[in-house]
Amino acid sequence: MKAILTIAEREIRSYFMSPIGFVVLAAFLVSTGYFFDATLSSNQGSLRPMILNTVVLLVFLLPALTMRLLAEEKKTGSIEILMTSPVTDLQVTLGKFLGVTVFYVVLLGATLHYPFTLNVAYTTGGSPFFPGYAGILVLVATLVSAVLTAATPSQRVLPWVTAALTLLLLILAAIGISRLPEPGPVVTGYLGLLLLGMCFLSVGMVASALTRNQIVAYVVSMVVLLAMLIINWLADSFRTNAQWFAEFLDYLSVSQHLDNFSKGVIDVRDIFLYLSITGVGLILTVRALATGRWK
Amino acid sequence: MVECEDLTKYYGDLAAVDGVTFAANKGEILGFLGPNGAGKTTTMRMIAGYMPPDRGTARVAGYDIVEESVAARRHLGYLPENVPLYDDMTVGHYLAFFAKLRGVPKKSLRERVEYAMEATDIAEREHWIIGKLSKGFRRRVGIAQAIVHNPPVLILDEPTEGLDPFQVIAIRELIRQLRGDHTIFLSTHILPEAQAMSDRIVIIDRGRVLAVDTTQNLTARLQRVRRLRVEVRGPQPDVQKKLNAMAGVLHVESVASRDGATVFELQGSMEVDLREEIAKMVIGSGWALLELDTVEMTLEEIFLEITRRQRPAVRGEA
Repeated sequence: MKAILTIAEREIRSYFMSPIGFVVLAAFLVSTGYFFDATLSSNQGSLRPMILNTVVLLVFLLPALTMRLLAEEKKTGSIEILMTSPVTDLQVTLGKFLGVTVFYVVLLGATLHYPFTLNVAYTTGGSPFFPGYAGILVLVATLVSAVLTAATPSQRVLPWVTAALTLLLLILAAIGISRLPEPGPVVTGYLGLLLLGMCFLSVGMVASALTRNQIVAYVVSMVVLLAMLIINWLADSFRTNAQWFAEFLDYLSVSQHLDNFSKGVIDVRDIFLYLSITGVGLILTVRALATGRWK
Repeated sequence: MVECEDLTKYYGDLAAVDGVTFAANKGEILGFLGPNGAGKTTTMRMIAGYMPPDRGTARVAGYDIVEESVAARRHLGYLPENVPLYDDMTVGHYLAFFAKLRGVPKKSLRERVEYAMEATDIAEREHWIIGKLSKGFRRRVGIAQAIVHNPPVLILDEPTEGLDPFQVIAIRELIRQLRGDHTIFLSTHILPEAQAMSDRIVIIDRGRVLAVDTTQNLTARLQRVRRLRVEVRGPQPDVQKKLNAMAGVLHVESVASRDGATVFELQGSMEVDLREEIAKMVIGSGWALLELDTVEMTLEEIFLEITRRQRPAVRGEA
């Protein structure tokens, strides 16, 4: 377990030290900000449209996080020192997966001021300008302190500042969510995004484990994720002849399952699909790593 | 401390490493010598647990690299040839990361990182991003990560490759200091380096071990003639004639002349030591004897002689 956490910690630091982490973070916030603005304009009092739109965003952004995980190590050769340390292929896979998942949670966490802003807009019917920016300020402060923490480990006070600001952000979000007319769908929507993201990240890791080229890893995982997203488009052609197959394709489509989460429905079948894809992705990554070493 | 037995690795049909067998004793520096493409890196990767052998095995600190791979890896430090480091980390972070990964307890983590940085003289660069370091410092960081968890076995692949002369001297000195506490297995294709640093030498060519011994023993085994260098002040033709006439002398050659003196290289029979007779003859003739010394075979000559003897045999078997 210690080895997994050590590897995860390195990966998290690496995202905060590299441009790719910030590019993805910025792209994610700008895009979700746009989706949220559209949600506010429609005056729905719900985050459902934003959560559903985010799926498409994840298809393009998450491969950018996973592409470097193993492909870069292979290309530079740093995997040679890592793999000659007393760690197993499984520990390396889980460590890297945990690291990228934590960074993804930071991405999701960075949108947690939206429920608070939505609550203010909904309850007062007024402009969310002031509370919205308060939320953004807390968020920015949290991110800055997180970056400083990653960059300067000897400064013991910074992790505490980050933890305190994160807590403040969570409290703001919790207050916002609890005062919404329907808080359930927001919570389950975020849970759905977390599970869906984990399954996307595991697919990205497989692609990264299979090649030394990060661009190839990015393109392959993006195409696979896109296929997973739109596979149910094929379902209509089979609905008259082979209903069972159409249903099967519907089940495989990851976006269909997020719809349930965003409505506030937690279905075991949805969780099972996301966790199975994640599990298969991780197993394939371990296999790909082992194959690489045993050649 | 490191025992290889019939270690074999194929790339397709080509045996990159073919039945390599040798052992490195505790606390010694074993030099692994061979031309580029001889199979040095592949052998080291197998011992370090990066790739498994197709046949045979190796034991590191008593642990089998195939059956007890993780335990074997816990007892070794490995520096790959091109020193692949994490460029986005600082030196201090990087060393702490590998120390933790290799099981250094939290309470002695800082102490071990400081030891590794001081031993490799990189303490002043602790907070530098690795990507900004010069080649020499990168290699030192590479060695530091290999020793940070104090492993009994160190595997260093071309540790001085691409460094300037000052850095080469510093790294050699560092490796010598590590001898005793660590069993060091280092590869090089630079012959003087192997001679200068190693207690014993493994000569490998085309994936096969050709010899494992000390330089002295290899010389004794391979030298077919005794070679002497004599510098005499006197008439060159006369001196050469008298040297040639001595019993046991097989060949005399004048190799240099300076300030009225001539340097001769003699080849004599291995059975007799000619030095005393030569000294008596020169002095007796009224000439001045300026130098009289035995010339040992250089590692370069040993290497060429061994590969020359073995290559036709390898071809014959193929």
